[in-house]
Amino acid sequence: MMIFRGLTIAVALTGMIMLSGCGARHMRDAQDSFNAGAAAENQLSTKGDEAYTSALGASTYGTAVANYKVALSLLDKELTQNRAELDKDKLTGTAWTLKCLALWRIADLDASIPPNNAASDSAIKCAKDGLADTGLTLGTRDRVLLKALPAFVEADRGRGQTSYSAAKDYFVSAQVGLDDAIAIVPGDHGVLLYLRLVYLRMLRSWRGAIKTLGGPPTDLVQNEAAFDAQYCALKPRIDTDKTVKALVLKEFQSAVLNAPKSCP
Amino acid sequence: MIEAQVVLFAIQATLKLYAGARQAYVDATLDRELVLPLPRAPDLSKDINNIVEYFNTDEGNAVRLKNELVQTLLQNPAQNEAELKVLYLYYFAEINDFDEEQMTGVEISVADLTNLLTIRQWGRNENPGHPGAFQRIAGTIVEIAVDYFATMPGAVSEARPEGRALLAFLKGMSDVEFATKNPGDLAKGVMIGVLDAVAATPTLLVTGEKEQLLIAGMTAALAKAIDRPDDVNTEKKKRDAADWAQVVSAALARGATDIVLANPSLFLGKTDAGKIVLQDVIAQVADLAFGADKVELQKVLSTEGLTTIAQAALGAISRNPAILGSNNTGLKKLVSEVTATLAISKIKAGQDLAPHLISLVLERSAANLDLLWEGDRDDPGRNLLVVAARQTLTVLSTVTTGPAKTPTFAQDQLLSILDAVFAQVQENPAWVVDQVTGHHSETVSAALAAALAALKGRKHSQFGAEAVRDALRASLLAVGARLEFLDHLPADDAAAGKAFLTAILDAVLSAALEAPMPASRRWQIARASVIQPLVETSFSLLAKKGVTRANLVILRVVLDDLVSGKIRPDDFATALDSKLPG
Repeated sequence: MMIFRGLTIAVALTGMIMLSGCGARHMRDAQDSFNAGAAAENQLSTKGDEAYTSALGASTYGTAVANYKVALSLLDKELTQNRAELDKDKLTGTAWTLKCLALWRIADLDASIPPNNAASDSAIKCAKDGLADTGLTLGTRDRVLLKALPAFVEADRGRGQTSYSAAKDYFVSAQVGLDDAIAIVPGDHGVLLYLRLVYLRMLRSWRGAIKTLGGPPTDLVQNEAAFDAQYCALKPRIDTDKTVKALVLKEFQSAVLNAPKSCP
Repeated sequence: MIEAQVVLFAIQATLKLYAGARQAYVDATLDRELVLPLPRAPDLSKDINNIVEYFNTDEGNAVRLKNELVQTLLQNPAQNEAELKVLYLYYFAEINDFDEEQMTGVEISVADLTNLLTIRQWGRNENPGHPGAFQRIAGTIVEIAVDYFATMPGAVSEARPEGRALLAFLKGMSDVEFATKNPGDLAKGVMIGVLDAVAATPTLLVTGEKEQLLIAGMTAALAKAIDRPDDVNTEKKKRDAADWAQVVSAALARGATDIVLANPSLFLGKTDAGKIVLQDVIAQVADLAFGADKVELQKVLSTEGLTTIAQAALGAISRNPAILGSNNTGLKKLVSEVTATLAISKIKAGQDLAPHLISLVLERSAANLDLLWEGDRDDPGRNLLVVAARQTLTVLSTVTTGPAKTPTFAQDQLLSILDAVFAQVQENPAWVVDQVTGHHSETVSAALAAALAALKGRKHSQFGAEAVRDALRASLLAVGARLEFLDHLPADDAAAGKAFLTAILDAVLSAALEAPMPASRRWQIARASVIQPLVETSFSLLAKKGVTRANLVILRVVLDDLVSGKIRPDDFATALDSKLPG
């Protein structure tokens, strides 16, 4: 039948045209690289923080950093050379968010970067510029991540401090930023679980600072209350999803803190 | 030649398919899942001091108190660090109700972690604002198929009438963007509805040029009408919407056929603004069925009702195209206004009263548009018949309830009363609008109320709804002839304070139905077929010779003669005429 002959030709021609590529394909490459970096980093994460610096973790650690850098490079190129096409396809917001996330992770992980705030400052600026740019089309996940990203950076900075008061300032700032980001998450979006897990990580870093840098007992009480609050916020999922329960309890276990026995 | 057409079609299809596929690829990139990394944090359980502290507080302390091994190991934590860490992991899992048989504490696999941290762009109940990849590609292929069958010579056999009808339908559907919008089940409903109507309408199967234009125009208008944001979010509602689309489409197709084919140049031609009249009308009626008010309208409009409205609208337009209004929203607003008026009046009537009333308003409005619908044709509030209908229904609803109620009117009786009111308004717009001030006049209400004041509570076995309707019509005619019928009688009259109209009706009905008289005479007089001429004669002679108190007294005397048997019913008109002066 003629329509099938016509459609066969059409599909073949379409395939050839699709191979000619577009900005979306480079975006996908960047997403792939970032996802590979995140997967490598999460692999280290299951083995504890010391895995980042262990000999066994060195290869995985290197993979994470390298992938983040590839993603950043691709995104920088797309955002400077193909901005018009990204704008037309409404992909600039996604590209921008991914770039900010890559900057955040590289600033935290790359040992070749001097231990000052310059690199992480650029991640914060990236997020703030992205949110301020009304021309960007941002999906829900991307908008929430840009909103939360400065808090992620603050938590990293707090972890790296040698004085408790300086560390506390960063953690307090991170806590406020995470609360603000959580407030804008609609319904049961998956990014909410992610933000609460980051929150628990931040609280664990803070708890570590209290114990190692001599924070006051009152801060420890506050810290435990904040842990409990996050646990209770996640309780419905903990009760219904064994993996979530394991992941949350793993945070408590690593913080050497029992989970609350009941929630209000 | 055919080969060349296939290649041309293939190129066009390629471009369309490429555009659809590329957009799907771009959308999928925007929506793509992202694996997110958890930031680093120190593992405090690696520090033996924290473990010692754990076994000395709260639940950990309770474990220590009951466990000699833990107590022994805690005596030298530095030396027993490895054992204490294992016991910590074990007891932590137990205390925190974690199902852990081995002594490794809480663990999570990389795969599980990655799965939990793979985050989608949109939430489960969020609308990303674009169709999914499958719908976009599938929709594009449907569009190509519609294009193909609508434009390729020979793709659909034109030798048979069904083929020509299908071709016309496909041409109508060719502007629907299946790839980007989500007409889904509604489009199927339109397709089945229109094709059902085509199959059931022999005229359409003739499928000459104008029949094909009709099918294509109708389909395009319906397709446009359903092309609106999808507000149905459950499977049942979707099925209901699709069923509704089907019956509406069939109803409109059936309703439009004869009228449009009788005047194809008007309905299938283009207006000065380049619009096709048929499409505008179908779009307005379809908007009633699919628009924001559809849920309410579904309760008051049957499919037959929609057919009636479509026919009435098209009929009115064929008589006077200006009735559509400048913004082409007049019809929709008129329907909303009339259905709302009916709802407010609480008149008990069948589901078809609204469409027939709309039909009546449209028919009379089209005949006297400038007189009855002055100014903005998109504003039904300016239509004098709508105003009159509102006043009429309000008055009727107040007297058809309560202990001394008038009979409940059947739908055709109500329509007959309304038609009589409309006839008077058409004759003299002052019935509903004051010619000097431009404000609404209450003449319709006053005339009906005056008549009903006399009719209310009568013995319905002898004077039923038909007779009440006729008396009302006669009363309206009387007031139309002489406004003095609404004047009130002076205080010294037996009917003091009543309108002349009420008093006259009272006099006739009391004489015929209630005055004492032999049974044989009552048998002759107390029947609607006699009473009605008495009423009409009384009104017409008083209208002619003067609506005065003196003439009312004469009427009462002649009626007494009738009751006493001095005159026969057939002689009533002559007797009254001769006794009235002038």
